[in-house]
Amino acid sequence: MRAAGQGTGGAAGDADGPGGPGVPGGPGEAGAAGDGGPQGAGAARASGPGGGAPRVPRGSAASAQNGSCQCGARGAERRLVQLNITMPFSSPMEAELVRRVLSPDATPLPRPGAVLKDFTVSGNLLFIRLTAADHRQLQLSISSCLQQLSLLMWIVQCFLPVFLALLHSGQRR
Amino acid sequence: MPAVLGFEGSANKIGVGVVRDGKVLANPRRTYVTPPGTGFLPGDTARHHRAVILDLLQEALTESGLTSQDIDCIAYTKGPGMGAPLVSVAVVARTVAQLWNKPLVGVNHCIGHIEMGRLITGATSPTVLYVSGGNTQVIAYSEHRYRIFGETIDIAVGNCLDRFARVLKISNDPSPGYNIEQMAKRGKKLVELPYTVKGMDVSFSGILSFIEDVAHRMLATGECTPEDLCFSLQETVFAMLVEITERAMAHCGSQEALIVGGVGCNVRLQEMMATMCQERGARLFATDERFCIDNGAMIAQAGWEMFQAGHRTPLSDSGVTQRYRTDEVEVTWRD
Repeated sequence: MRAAGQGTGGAAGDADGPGGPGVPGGPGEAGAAGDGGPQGAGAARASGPGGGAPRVPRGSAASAQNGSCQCGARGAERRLVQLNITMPFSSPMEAELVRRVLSPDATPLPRPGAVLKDFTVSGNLLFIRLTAADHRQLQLSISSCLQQLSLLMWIVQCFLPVFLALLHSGQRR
Repeated sequence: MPAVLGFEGSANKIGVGVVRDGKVLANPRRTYVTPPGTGFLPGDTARHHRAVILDLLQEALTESGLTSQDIDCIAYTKGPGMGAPLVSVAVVARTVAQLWNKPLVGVNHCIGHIEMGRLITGATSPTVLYVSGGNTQVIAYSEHRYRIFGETIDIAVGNCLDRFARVLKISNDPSPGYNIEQMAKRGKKLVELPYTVKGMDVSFSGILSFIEDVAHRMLATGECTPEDLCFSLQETVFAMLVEITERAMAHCGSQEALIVGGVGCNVRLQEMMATMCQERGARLFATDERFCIDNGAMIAQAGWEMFQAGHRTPLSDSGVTQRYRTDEVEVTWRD
């Protein structure tokens, strides 16, 4: 038997991986993103109204946006990898809607191996930052994140006309 | 007359249901089935759910004859379950809730089963045996909580059956448990297996280890058939479940028992529970596979109760929880 209130609430953590150990620390030193690893994932299309492909230039270490990947080190024993994706939407409202949908699962409880996700909006741009302790975790998270974005855009395409109609008719707060 | 749309996808079944005032208006579902000898992994399961969920949503609206404007609340499975599938469904629920401007309610999966069982059967205050691939609990309601009186201390009974099915490479279509049940009907010999009841709790990992160990040897020597093993496993694990349920009923003085969860579809389990109830002068309630197996309508029904009681889940709190205890929820919709 278990007494009431002893349940341990846990976040879903990494959406795809086995959810191993480690909470990545700070970004540490930025490294060059020229090795062409996760950039392939950054080239995935965000199909949706006004959604173009996230721009993924082979950026410099200083480039923290547009799909660059940074490898950082924090001390000799911790190595972090990070991917940044910039996704344009047709309006700030859509960008903010997607941010609100994805954010609740963004920050897992501090667990080894969890992937940190950060979503911010500026105008009609959604910025996604994924930080992981190793490339494999990052790769899994990228795949999952892009698939979720794809599904989100599909839903928005299906139901946006109704949403806009309600908005214009004043039936939305 | 509020109508609630419910999303369920905590394991390998994904369902979207619509419930209004105690009536199930729609309940389409899909199951992710893996090849024999394998189980379902979180990432692959989530991928399956993402691929079919919009079709299911459209199907549910069409079947119910409702539009987005007729829906009053969006309910979704907040937990417990597998992380990736839970997230993939929660994301859809949040999006739809925002686009349709409807309140969101996060539902405990176990309570979804209980509330659907109560709705369909009309049981008033039963001792609940909740048995599925992911959960095995004996539950009774008391003072605004569904209290867990007994449970598995390791794996769920359905997990034990599913993993045994993998050993024998039994098909997962429509489900390994169903196929074990059909094979068990042809079993003739009872093979003695470890029987592990610990007070109010049960343990299945030892039985599984034992049968995984001996199955191939016994089959190779002709000591028994696969059907005998299916029969023996069912008889043993179901007897354990009947024992702990009876113990809880005796403790609570309960005259009703309700079986919910996917394993609750098993006719042999229902027979054994019925025998126990009859001996105690109690009534047994059970539902059919539409509502025993994970489905969207059960989430919609629990969501309906919660919505009527004033529960709302803000977007900021709408994250999923892989470990969400049945007794964590305050059941404000019951006296």
